[in-house]
Amino acid sequence: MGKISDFQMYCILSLLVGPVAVLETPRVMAHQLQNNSWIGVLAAFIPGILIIAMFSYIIKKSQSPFPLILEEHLGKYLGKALGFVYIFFFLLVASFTVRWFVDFIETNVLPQTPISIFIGVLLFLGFYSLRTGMQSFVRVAEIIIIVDLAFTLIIAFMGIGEFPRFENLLPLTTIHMKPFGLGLFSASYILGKMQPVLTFSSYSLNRERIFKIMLWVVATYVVLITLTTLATILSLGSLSGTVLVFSTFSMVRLLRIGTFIQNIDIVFIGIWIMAIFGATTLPWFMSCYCTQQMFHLKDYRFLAAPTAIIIGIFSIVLSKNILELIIMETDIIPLLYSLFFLGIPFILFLICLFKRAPEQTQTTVPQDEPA
Amino acid sequence: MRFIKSRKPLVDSTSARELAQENLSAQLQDNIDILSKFLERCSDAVIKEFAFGTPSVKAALYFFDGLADRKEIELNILKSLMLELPPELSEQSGEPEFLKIVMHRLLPGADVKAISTFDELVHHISSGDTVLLIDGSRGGLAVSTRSWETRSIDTPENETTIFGPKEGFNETLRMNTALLRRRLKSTNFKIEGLVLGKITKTDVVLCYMDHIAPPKLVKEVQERLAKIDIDGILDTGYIAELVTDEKHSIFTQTLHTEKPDSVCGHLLEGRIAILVDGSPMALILPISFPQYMISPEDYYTNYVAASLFRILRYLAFFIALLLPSLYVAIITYHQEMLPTSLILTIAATRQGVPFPAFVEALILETTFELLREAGLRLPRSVGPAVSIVGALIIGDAAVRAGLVSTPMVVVVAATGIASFVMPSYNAGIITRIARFGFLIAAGFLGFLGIMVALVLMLVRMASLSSFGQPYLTPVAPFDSTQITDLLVRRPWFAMTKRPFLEGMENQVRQKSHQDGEAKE
Repeated sequence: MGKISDFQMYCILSLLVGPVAVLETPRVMAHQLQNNSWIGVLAAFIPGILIIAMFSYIIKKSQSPFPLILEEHLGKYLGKALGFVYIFFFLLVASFTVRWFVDFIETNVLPQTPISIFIGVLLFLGFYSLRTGMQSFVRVAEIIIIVDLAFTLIIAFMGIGEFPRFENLLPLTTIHMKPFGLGLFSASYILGKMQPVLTFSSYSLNRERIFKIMLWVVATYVVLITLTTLATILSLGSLSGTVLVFSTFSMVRLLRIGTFIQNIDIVFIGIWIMAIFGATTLPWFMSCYCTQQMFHLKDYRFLAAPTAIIIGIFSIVLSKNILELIIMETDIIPLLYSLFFLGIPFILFLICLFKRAPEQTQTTVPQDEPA
Repeated sequence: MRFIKSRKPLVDSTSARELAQENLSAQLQDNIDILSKFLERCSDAVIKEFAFGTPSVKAALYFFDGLADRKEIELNILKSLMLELPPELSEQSGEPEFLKIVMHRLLPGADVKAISTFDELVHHISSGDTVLLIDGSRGGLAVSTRSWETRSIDTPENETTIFGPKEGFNETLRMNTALLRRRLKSTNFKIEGLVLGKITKTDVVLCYMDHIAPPKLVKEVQERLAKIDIDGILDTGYIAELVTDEKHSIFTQTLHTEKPDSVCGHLLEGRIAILVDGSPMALILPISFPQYMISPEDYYTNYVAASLFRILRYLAFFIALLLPSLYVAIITYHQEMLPTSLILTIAATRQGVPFPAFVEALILETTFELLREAGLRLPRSVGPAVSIVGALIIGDAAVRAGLVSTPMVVVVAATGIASFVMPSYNAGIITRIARFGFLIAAGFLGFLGIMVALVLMLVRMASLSSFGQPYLTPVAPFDSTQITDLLVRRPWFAMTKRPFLEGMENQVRQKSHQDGEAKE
């Protein structure tokens, strides 16, 4: 893998946190905070800063990329054991993302098509990308972010502009601490998905600027999700926003351009599939990369084929139907993600607090040309 | 019928090759004997034995009829030798310096080179030179007498422009290099020559600006050219395929142009041009895909207008690439996107059409490609007629027969027009091939399929590079400084820097406009 520029770093981190959150978070937030859900997202900026400060500190105090970082701070045996667990965890993240997106397509767009077709298509994209190498994926990520960010912002502004029912936001004062805390957690834990930065930072052209880049990602996430949540609440109201499974999608369905173009949801899905491709490929890459590092393999690319089969099977057997998947999404996934994306890094952070900064900032990763 | 495959005949080419590498003998008769073997059954080879001076010195002239100018041979070689050789010089004929004396005193006006091997001799006479061999002298003299019929400098047929120079390259290498040299009056403009092709021995030149082109890039191109070991090079297309980074791809990684002004523009931006004798096409490298959307004319017209035209070209690219597949996706899977009145109109026109939209599009697109190919191959007098017959009569007849619907004809026609908007033929080829891929993807999965195909295409393009330069630069990797002269045309006064190439040492194109004003 070549060196990653600042913008490329921003793009891959945004791809990790953004795509699923755009569709998922407004509903979860509406469930917790109803009409004030947008305030919860806005407030996520503060935990977001704390999360990136934690990652930034670990990077500062470490010499190796993740997963070797685990061995560096937790010792050889515990580090190795956790490294193996992470291989499967990243496979789970990729499988869950694939399944979640496929179920969404299945229920909303092409209900007659078997899910195995969609899974196959998504996996082929990721497989091809991994086989080609991360360098080309990182370049494509730039285009995806430029296109998708622009498009999502347009959608959000159109949603706000088309249905400005500001009474849906009232009353502003009824925020209870418990739902606010839960909402804040729901909006914040997603930022932990930036955890692969512990790997990517080793390939960064400018390692000192990692914190700043992550700050931009947090800002983008907060702005994007706040606007999307606002658009959803304004157009559907907090009750519908809670009941509907894909409330953002329902909001997009209502949009019209003039009196001519209508039902642009398929365009939204089409553009969005690019982001989902990114969100699937990155944890998949992390799984292959962790395997490569743990077993001291020369390359990770040959692992794309066997892992594709694992992800494919895993995503099919993950749940029997979308209902199970939603229960899993609300009850299991936040805890699992919090543990692996935030919990273990927090332990690393605590250990790093009592460690000296390495004298040599140069990492053990081979230095290469820019991607 | 042969059941046992016969062994391929072994060709003993080594002896002939070794002979060609041998030095010319001092004995004229020996040389004549060897050359007679080389040139047997070459009816156009002319061998003229003669004697000159007092005491007489035996000599021979070798040239190919049609390549060399007979008048020039008579005037510049034979006349000089016969009439202008003083007797005291004639007596030195056996001495080793005699060839030099002839070269400097008898043939001073001509372009003369001393040669020493048979290989050089054959190469020179094949290039239109005349070789003089003198008895008693080891080696020979190659006198430039090149004169063959060439096509005059004409307007390039494939790159017509309204503004700017109208000259185009022709098939003569020296004329082409002269067209470049006339525009780049600098000693930094280097034209490095080399000979490629074991049989064709084609003259190839590598053109670059010494202080602008990255030295690493120049070295890389030189090395890749040196590695070419092929029997013949007949066009720049051969070299393009042999030297590019990724050879198995529809995405071409070089740019072809017939316009010397376009080549000069690229050279001034640090790129390298390769010209081949016998080809009117120059090869430009490295190149990124967005550069295919740039026309040389952009830089001769007002920058606002040029920018709008460029945006139009990008739009045309997407129309040419995606319009048929979008139509198929909407008609087949996403009808709800269209207003009711429009979908009813389309449904009415499609009534009675026996094929699904995907098959209909595939048939029409294939027919369009057939017509395009036929238009190219047919004689010029018939070509346009066939296109008109194809477009109007066949299209109209197909609609009347109920084989295809009118909207589909409109879609395919719009796609065809859009594909002609692109200034680069290479981009056109890429679009034509990729369009079918998108069509199939749309037929299977609708808009979703199109996006999947688009991601695949992007990944493939992102994985490519042209001599180390990423194929999608400056879009990916994103470069904000260069993107402004790609999506739109940056005004000349704002173009203070050249586009950056890896390893470029001199990026300054002009003094900052504001600096100049401030100093004034």
